[in-house]
Amino acid sequence: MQETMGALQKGMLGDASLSTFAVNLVMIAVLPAICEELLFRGILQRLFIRATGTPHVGIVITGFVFGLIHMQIINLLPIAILGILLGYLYHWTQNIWFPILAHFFFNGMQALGFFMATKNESFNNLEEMETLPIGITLAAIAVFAASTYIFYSANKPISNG
Amino acid sequence: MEDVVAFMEQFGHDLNVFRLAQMINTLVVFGGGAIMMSYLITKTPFGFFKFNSSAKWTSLIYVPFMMMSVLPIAMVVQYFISMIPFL
Repeated sequence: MQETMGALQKGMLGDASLSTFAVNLVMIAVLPAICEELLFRGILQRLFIRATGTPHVGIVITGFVFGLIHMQIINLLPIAILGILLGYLYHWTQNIWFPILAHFFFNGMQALGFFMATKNESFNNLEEMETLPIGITLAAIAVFAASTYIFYSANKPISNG
Repeated sequence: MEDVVAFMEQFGHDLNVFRLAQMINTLVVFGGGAIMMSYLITKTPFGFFKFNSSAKWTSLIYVPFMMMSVLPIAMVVQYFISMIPFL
């Protein structure tokens, strides 16, 4: 199942024309960003937070539900991590536009990556990489920690669920 | 890439149908479902969603850094998960 999903996604994205890229951008970046965020962060996260009484538990549960709905077992945890991050963006800002824009940016990057891979062989090699060099990973962790902390500090958390 | 090549040979001519189906699925299931649930709870289509105007819009500048740097972290997690034999 997950192989078919992956192949379908790659097949739909792996086209070199600009018009197809525009359609793909709407298909995997614009619509999912708006619709998935309205459902997962806008509705489910608030309901889970109400049900559990703890924002962190509600956000984590919603993140895993978000991972499960993508129907890729191997990608479950990475997608759940992304869902949890989007959940905190909503929780910290109490504004649904923040996770929508973040989700659009993330999916848009992937669409652009696939488009670039069809144009340039060197981008294709990125897909074959199982993991990044340790230096890049550590730098990413540092950038992630710093940017998340600054974002959190800028938006005072309102934990009324 | 072999799986993509094989897939394209079999279903390549139907890709626009898949695209349309995926868009409709996203709109109806996720978007429509969310608006319907919001309406059921608050009696207004967007009443359950928060649009807090006091959120710091300038902090949006950090979001691309967060989203780009979470990708390598997710890749590491995925790498370790893919080592689990039965997945």
